[in-house]
Amino acid sequence: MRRVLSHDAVFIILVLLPIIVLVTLFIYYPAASTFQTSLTSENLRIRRPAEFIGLKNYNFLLHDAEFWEVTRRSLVVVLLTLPLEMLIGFLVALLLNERFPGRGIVRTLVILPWMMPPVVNGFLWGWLLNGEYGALNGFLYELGLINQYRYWLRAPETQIVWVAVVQTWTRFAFPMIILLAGLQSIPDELYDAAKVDGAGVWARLRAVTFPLLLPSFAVALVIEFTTTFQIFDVVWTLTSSGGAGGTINPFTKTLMIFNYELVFRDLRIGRGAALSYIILLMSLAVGMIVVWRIYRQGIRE
Amino acid sequence: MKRVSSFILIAVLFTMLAAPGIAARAQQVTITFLTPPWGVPPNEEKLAAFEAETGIKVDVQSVQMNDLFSRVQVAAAAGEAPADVIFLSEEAPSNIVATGNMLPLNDLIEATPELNIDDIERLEFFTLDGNVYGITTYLQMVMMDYNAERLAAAGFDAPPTTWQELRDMAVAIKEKGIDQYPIAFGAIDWSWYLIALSMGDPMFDEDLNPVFADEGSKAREAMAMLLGFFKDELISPEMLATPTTPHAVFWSGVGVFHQAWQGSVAVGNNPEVSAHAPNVKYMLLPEVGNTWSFPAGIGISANSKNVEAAWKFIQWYVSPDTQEDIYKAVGLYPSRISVQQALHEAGAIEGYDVIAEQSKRIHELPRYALWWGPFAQYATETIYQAILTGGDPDKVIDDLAKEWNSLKEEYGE
Repeated sequence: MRRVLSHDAVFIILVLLPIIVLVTLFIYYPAASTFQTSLTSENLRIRRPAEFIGLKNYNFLLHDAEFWEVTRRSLVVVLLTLPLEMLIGFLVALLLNERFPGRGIVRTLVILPWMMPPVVNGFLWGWLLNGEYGALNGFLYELGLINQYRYWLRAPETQIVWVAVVQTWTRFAFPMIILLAGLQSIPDELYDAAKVDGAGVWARLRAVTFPLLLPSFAVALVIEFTTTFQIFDVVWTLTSSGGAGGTINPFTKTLMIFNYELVFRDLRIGRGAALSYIILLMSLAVGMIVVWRIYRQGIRE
Repeated sequence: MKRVSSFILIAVLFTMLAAPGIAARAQQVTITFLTPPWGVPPNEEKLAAFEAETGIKVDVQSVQMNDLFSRVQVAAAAGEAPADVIFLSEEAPSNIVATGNMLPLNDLIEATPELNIDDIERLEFFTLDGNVYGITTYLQMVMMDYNAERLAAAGFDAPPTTWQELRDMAVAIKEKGIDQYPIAFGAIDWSWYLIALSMGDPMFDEDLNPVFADEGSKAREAMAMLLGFFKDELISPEMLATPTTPHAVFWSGVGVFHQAWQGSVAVGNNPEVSAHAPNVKYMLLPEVGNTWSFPAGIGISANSKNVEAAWKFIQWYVSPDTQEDIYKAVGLYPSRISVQQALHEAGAIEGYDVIAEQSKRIHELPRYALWWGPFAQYATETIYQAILTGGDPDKVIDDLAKEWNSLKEEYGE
């Protein structure tokens, strides 16, 4: 009888089988089940069996003013956060790419905010920004920059800005790590050659660093876009309004908060599942554009 | 052979010594009790005594109310019990009971005459279609309390009897520098219900139509009053900037008039908790003075596999002894008439006369409606938004009525 599979092939299949089973059980099966639910009218408040309604949930959301409002708000958070996060991450990566005493300690300190749970960061900044006893007020007051304490989180316009600040503080270390790895992979010979040609610091950055860092930049950008677009923890802990347990703040309601509201507050499981898929598709679309344009260009460079 | 005999002897000795423990553990049932922090049994020694006496181990899981609802709903979706015993707040009828997550207790009540069910008030709050889903543990109704010393310092010797009078007093208190933010109300739906019901608005008719939106209604006046309080900074901006409660703000020493509850004066006059101690007193709600109640109960999850043990725990939890402990620990008014009377006779209930008078003016909100939960959250968000953007009170009322009708159409059977 002819042997169909070689020993190596069988070994590979056996080694991969557990992870395939786990991924199928914990990722693909729930994803498929969620999609199926999104095609139904499932609502846990209504004691009627859920009915198949096709794409009605998607149609409702795409014609819902609130959906577009929260999408706009999520994009605002991204536009406020991403440039700041990538810039700070890049500058810190440049700094940590140089050798100096205590570099290891600085590197550890810099990633501390990222290591802390976002929920903790949200609560921490909530205390810092408190209008009665917050450290920010105390600090600015002592410096003479303000003459009375302010409620930093009171105005709707500033709430979303502070969300962006806290998200930047929480996440900048991640792109920093990726960009630092990218910087360290650039051969020193290229910089030496550029110096020989008379290129200054800015010229070396423009001609050597930026082009070769594009693939790393693209990876960091995609991951950070997805994370920030789907922001939840910081918004919830920093800006949920009064009442024990927190009430959704309409001025900082982003897509994931809206999703939480649909599923856990309103118990509209079918509609919430549809929203999950819309969020997934929007995140994928951006990811694909970034990969297609920036990453490929970086590879060419 | 000698070694084998020694080993057998040691094994037998060990089994004889360990057997009672093993048997006890085998008999011991563990039940879970899902509750917010104020529902945790306050007397740990008595809970331990209950566990020792019954062999029932109680695993108390304390979570915030919104998390409690989430856990119940997620478990329900999977057909599981989130816990054996579940604390039922005033939002539970809509969020948990009407959605079929609780076990009817009628048969258990009938089989337990020693429970003395007639001694327990407001059982109807957790009764739906004739089925009792929760045993009331404490009673609460929204009341108001105030700092009598600060009010007197402003030149007023009695609390206000109308809302305009309250507003005028608050302005005077602020202008005299006695308290910068004299009103401790939240930027939430409750503040509106409190003022509207107190002004005499019925809010909904018997068919659950939102009569609060009728032209010239008291509810419209109430909304304007509430938004005005914030606009004129009679309420601390901290209510808008942080996830705090009017209670935390009041007890920190800010405010003269406080949205409170039956039993809150005990906390307000506790110097370990409140900066206002010992000057806090109840006041009757102004004008018509209607209010609504929010009792709490305790029930068994519909999917619990330990119904018998859960029922024993519930009997202990609502016993006169435990209710008295809860009152002394957190000021929650007992649901048992016998305990209320005993505490009153012992002089332990501050402001009993005002409580008794206020309790004659209950006008319930339709919390049993399936859509009450989403409506209440929407109302809070809309009010919060209107406060921060200077919204028109009439438009807020119209939005709320529109949302109510939309939800009613969606959920109505």
